[in-house]
Parts: sequence; C-alpha cells; structure tokens
Amino acid sequence: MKAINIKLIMISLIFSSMGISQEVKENSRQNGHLNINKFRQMYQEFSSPNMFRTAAGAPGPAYYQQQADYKMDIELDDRNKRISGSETITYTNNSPDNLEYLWVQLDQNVRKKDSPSLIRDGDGVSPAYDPSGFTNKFINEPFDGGFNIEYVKDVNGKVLTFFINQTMMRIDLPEVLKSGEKVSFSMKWWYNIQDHVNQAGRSGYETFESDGNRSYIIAQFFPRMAVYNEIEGWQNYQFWGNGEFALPFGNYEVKITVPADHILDATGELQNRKEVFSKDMLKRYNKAKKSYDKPIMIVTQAEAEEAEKNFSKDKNTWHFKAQNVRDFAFASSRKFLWDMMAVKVGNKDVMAVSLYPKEGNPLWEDYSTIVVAETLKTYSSFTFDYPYHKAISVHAKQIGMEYPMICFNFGRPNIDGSYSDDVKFGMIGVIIHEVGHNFFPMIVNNDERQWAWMDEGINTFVQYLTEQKLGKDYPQIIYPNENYPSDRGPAELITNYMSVDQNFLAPIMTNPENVYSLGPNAYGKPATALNILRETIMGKELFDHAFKTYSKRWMFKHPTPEDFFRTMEDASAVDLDWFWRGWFYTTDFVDIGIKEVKQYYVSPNPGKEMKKIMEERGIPMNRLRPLVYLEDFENDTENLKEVNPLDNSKLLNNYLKENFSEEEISSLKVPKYFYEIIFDKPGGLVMPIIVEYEYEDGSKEKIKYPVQVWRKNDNEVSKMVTSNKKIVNIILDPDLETADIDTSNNAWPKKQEDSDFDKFKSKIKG
Amino acid sequence: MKKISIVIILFITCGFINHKYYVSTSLFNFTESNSVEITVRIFKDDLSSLMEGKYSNEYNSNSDLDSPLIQSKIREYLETNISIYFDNIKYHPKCLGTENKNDLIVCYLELEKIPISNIIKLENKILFELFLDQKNIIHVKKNNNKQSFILTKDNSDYTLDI
Repeated sequence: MKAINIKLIMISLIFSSMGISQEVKENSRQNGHLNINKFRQMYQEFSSPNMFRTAAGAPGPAYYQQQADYKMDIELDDRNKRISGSETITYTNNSPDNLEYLWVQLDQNVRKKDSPSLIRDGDGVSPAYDPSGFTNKFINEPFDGGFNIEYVKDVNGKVLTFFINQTMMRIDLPEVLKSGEKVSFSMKWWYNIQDHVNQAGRSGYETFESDGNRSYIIAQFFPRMAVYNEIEGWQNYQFWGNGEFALPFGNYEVKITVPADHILDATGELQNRKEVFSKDMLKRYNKAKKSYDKPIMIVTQAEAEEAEKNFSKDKNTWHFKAQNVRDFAFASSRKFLWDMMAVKVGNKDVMAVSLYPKEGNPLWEDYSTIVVAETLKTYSSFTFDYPYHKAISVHAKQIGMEYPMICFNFGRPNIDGSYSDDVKFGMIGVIIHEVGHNFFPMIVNNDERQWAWMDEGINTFVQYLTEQKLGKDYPQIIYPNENYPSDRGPAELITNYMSVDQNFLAPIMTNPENVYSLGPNAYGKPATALNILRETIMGKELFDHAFKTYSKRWMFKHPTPEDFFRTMEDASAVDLDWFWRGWFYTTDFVDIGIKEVKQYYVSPNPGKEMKKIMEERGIPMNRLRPLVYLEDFENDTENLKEVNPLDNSKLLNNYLKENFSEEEISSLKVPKYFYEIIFDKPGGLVMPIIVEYEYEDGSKEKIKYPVQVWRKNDNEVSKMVTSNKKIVNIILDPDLETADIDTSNNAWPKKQEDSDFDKFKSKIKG
Repeated sequence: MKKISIVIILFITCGFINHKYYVSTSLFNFTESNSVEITVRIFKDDLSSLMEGKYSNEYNSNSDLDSPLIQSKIREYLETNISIYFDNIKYHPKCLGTENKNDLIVCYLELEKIPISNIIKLENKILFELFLDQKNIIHVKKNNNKQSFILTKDNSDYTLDI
C-alpha cells in the first residue's frame, strides 16, 4: 500500500469536505428546489404540441384557418374629408366549431370621442404648453372620429342585429354558422378622416398649406373580420392603439371612387388601367415593366404640379382585385408623383412602386423605388419568393406603417430640398422595414395584437440584413460610410437598453400594450437576439435554413411564438430552449467576466497545495506514488518557471522515453505554460464564452467554449489552458458579439480603460 | 413648442416606434484632482424635440444638431440645467461638447479645481419641461464608491454623503 492512488485521495477529499460543510450548516439546512437549471426544456411554458400545431413547429393535421372575402364600394369625399363604403363579407367557417355570432373589428372607433383608449394613460399638469397644444387639449371640440354604421343586413336584405363594444362589433347570426359553412352579410358605413400630421394615427390625410391640397393614406378603413382560431376563440383583445392587428386571409374586390384628377394606388391588381390611365401613362407603364435597373416616371413632377392647381368636381373609379391578402389599404391625391421599376424575384417580375408629393423630392425620386426593389430581392432570398405582383412605398410626413402590397413611409427634406443624413437613412430604413412587413406579418401572419415582436422583431432583423446588403450593392448611397449605419441589429447596440433599471423592462414575451418601451422591446431586442443566434450561436448556414423553413411553413398561415421557437430548433438540431427562455421570457442581461487567472508550472516535487491536501488527510508524503506535479506560479520557490516541463519532471521524461521512440519524442508538443482561468457571470443570461488569447509573440487565438459550460454552475466556471507560448492578454468577447453590458471585466490583465470622457477630452484637444 | 405634443402622441401610435419612455443617464465622476467629469447620455430625438420646442426659429426636426448655432444652444441648456452644490454654493459645469453615438447624443461637461466636500447636492433638470415622465438616472463615482439614483420633475435634486 505504498502508492496511494491519487484518485482515492480526491474522492476522500470530496467526501470529507462535504462532511465539513454539512456540520457547519446543520442548524440552517438549505431548502430544496424545483428544476431551476437554465438548460431545462420549456415543457412548462409551451402549450403545444397538439393536433393543430406539431412539436416540430409546423401546422398540424387538424390545423385550420378561417377565410374572409370582401366586395366593397368606397367613396372618398375630399371636400368633407369623409370616407364612406358599402361592403359584403363572405365568411367561411373552416373551424371544427359552430359559431353563434361573428366579431368584426372597428379600428376607427379608437378615435371616437368617448373612446376609453384616449384616457387610458396616466397624465398630469405640464408646466408649459404651446398655444396650439393648449387649444387642442383644452378648448377645441375633440375630433369626431369612429365608424358610423348605417346598417348590417344578410344576403336577403334582412336586418341583422349587432352590438358594438369599443372597437369590436358582434353580429348575431339568426342561425348557427356550422363548421365548413359560409355566411354572407353586408354593411354600410362612413367616418370622418383625421389629420395624421396633427392628430397622429396610422392613416389619415395631410393638408399642404401652399396649394390647399390633401394627400390621403387610407387604412383600417372598413369593418374587418376578427380572427377565430384554436388559441383565442374569437380574438377579443380590443384595439387600444399599440397592439396592431390580427386578420384572416381572403380575396378582395374593391372599387374606389375619388376626384377625377387624383392619382391612386392600392392593395391588389388594377382592373381598369385603360380607363384611369392617360395614354402617356400607359406608354410609360409598359416601359417601366421592362426597366430592371432604374425607375420610370409614370406621373412626372411637372404633371403633378399642374394637377395641384385644379380641384376637379368629376369622379373616377379605380377597380382592384387582390387574392389571398389579409387587409386592404390605398393612397390617393392629385399631388402624387408616381414611379415604377421591375424586379426579378425568382422567375417572376414584380413591380417596385413609389407615390410621393413633390415635397418628398429630391429624396424620394432618388431612393424610394430602388430601396423597394432591393428589399423585395433580399427578403425573398431569406424567406420565399415575394408572391404578390407589386410593392408600393407611399410618402407620408411622419408615419411608418405597413399593409399588404402598400406601405406609408416618412422622410421629408427641408423646403429648399436639403436634408440631413439622419433624414436620409431614416427614410431608407423605414422603407425597408415597412416593405419588409409584406413578409412578416402580411404573409407569415402572426397575431400582432398579442405578439408585436413576432413581426416587428423578426422584420427588424431581416431589415438589418437588407440594410447591410444595400450598403454592399449600392456603396454610393451610403458613402462615405463603409457599411450601412444600421441602428438596430448589432449586439453592442442593445446593451444600453438591456442595462436600464429593471423597473422599466418587460420580457419580449409581453403584450405590446404593457411594455415600457416598445421600440427596443419589440423591435431592437428580438432583432438583436436573432442576429446573435445567426452569427454567434447557430452559424449562418444552420440559422438561414431554419429561418427559411419557418417562413415557408407559415406562409399565408397564422404562426404562434412556439411555432417559431420549435421550427428553429427542429430544422437545425440545435436545442435553444435556454436561449428562448433567457432572451424572450426574462429581462436578464449578458455580463460575463474574467475573475482570476493563475499560472502553473510542472514541478518534480509536490507543491504547497498538494502538501496541504496530504497534511489534511494525515498521510505522510512518502506514501505518494511518483506523480507529475503542477505548482502555482505564485508559490515558485525553486525558479522552475520558465523551464521545459520535461527537464522539471524526470518522471514524465522517463515515462515518455519508455513509451515513445526518440523520433516520436522529438515531434511531441509538450506544453510549457499552464493556466487556470476563472470566468464569472454577474449577468443572468447564459452565453458561450468567447475568449481571445494573445501570446508573447503577438499571435492570437480565439476559442469559443459552448454555452453548456454553464450547465452545472451558473455563477462561475474555470478552465485550464495549456500552450507553448506565454499568454500576455486575455480578452472576452473581443468582437462585441454577445451583448455583454459591462465590458470592464472582460480583459486580463485588467486594462485601465480610458473612459468616454477621457477619450472625448483628448479628442477635442487634438 | 408647436410640435412637441404631436411628437409625444406619435411615439404612442406609430407602427415604427423608437422609444416611448423618456430617460437620460448622467455619470458624475469626482476625480482625485478635484474635478468633476460629467457624461450625459440623451436620446437624439428627445434632444431634437427639445431644440425644436425652444428654438423653433432656428431648428426643426430636419435640422442638423451638430451646427455651431445649435451646439451653442445645447451647451447653454446643459450648463444651466445641471448643477452641483458644495457647502450650499452652486457651481455650473462647463460643457466641452457633444458626440453622436447611434440614437444617443453623449454630452461632456466638466467642473475643474473646486473644493470637493463629502456632502454633495446634485441637480439635473434636463428635459423636465418637455416630458412629464422624464427620468434622469444619475450615477455618482467618487474614489471607489458608487451610488445611483433617479431624478424626476418633482425631485430634481438629490443630496448625498459620499
């Protein structure tokens, strides 16, 4: 028994130290706990799989969705700033359930005088008001908005009873609508259009003081079917203003009557182009269909300026049909310039279109349509080929808002035509974003009322990819920047938000009405999370395949957050439950640091620590069998630090000689430097540890320890690192790709980082 | 002040939202050389709304925040609204300049060679006239001590012993 097995010592060490700790804590025994491991699966959080939605994240065998088809006659009354319409909805019940009533959404009612959403926020007395603000708030009659419903009738003209609750209208059916059956009913309605410049909103009109004209961007303008599904039943969350829309797909036939000198475009294919286009416009349109590199003007600035002068009393009716869309919107004005170009998407031609008053120039003529085209191409490459025949970008002063095939975008130059970079990149960014919404949520159609991040966050992520692609394809647009100056996407840009006071944070998985800061919460943070998944966690190939799978699976369908989470894992074989839980279900942040670095060397004799272990066990040193010892650098008493381990340990040397030929030994790589590095994790989120080791000779090596290093200890983890060269610097997350909110603990030796203040001061001193 | 109320509503109702709550952060660093270095971070659009409201003749939301005229207005505004008291004597820091960082403007102010005592009163009133729920988060660093607190319109100063 002379040679004691080292393993035995270690085991007894573990046991006896456990014994000690138990003794100390005998009177304060720790309580047990549930599974709180950050890598546990999300069985508790998820409600699927079921027959409707599979565990793979795809539509299940019993998946269904309702259909709503619309036939509408709309008239825009420019003089009175009113819109009226009659519509027939045909609703198909594909659900297995029988429906006693239907719910229709009346979004305009959010602007009714007595709308509770106008008084839902706390407010107080402001110390100062400007006169127009004061007048609007305290003196003027409130805006008389909201739907006026004239009737609701069945196909035979019989009146149907209805009840309006805020922004939703229940229509009582005389007979139950059975599973698999259809029902048709009609409505007549009108409402006052609001001034979107002074009264805000997602649609409305803008008056141009200089010529007395208005431009209209019209949306949420007709009573629309609510969604009925297996998750919510009837979607019953009112429209309060922030949470956007949940709408079933269907086919639309819409006739819109406007002043004869208006230029109009809308969701859907124009059916009577020859009636509403002049000969010149038709000729230019045919030219635009073959122009793949630059937009062709359909209505020029000179023509628009001429049209501004007349206020025609005649009317024109524009006729559109749209297949498989979830909504319908349009824009109309005699001030509009109009340009178009063709884009190849797959083997199909799509038209990229822009409508803008001259006040948008020169910015709009230069960039809008080109950006639309680039967006369609890039989004298609990451998802599916854009299935509609056109995408329109309409200029509205301060709105960014999306509808199928058409969206409204801000970005207006000064009156003299000059504009700042902020205005230019703001405009390009919002066009990419709103055109991108055609993919999410217009086609991959999540419930926006419940989950804003599913379209805003996913869309902001693809927006980032598109901005970067645009910068590569059109360097002259972003000059003198080298890359497009994206303000959302890169990991380091979200660290400010993720480090704010926890009282102002909500998890991404929170209804958009209840978050403190919808911008970073539903746009910035999920977009960044997906970018980190793509670039750091999964890698581009795995991510892109899974992301495309999700997009294709849920094209023209209604996915839930689980369907997205599940598909991303299922199509990549990467378990991401830890990532979803941390980033989407909590307000935790990333902060990983280097706590301590210790250097060791090979020694022939037991070092201090080994001696201590033996002493504690009460075993004499001579009972140890020959071993290779590692000794803490700090305790070096024999000056063995810089010597080859083989010279330091005869034992090791002899072992090698006995087991390898001399030739083999000469080619063996024996490490000279031994380090123990302790990483700690003040942040709640687990992330891979990305470390860059810099050696004496200036060379660098980057190692990524998988996130699983945290699975047994959520606070700190130590790693042994061996090398032939001395390590002089260690940097954590050197490329700032993990959103680490505090980088002051990311370097060894600790660097006295110049504060922003010092840097700025030395900069201004030159 | 024409557009201010509109801007506020816009943040609430637009499909493309930047930020809806109003926060700035300021770091007061008391150095060993008896100076105070102040780094203030403000959202660009908040500062833009402020300039638009206060100087509507010289500035609109399309103007350049970096123009010399607007820069001098920003400096003047910061120097007036941020102050430090030692022994009940009020000191106004000097603004060295500002820097753009994505959607933030970082402002640098300094107070050099002053008799720093342990009892310090800090005041930061920026943006309170514009946003009712504006919160100015203050971090204080002195020697190795750190403290943080939040200033609001009703409590725009804070006295600490550090």
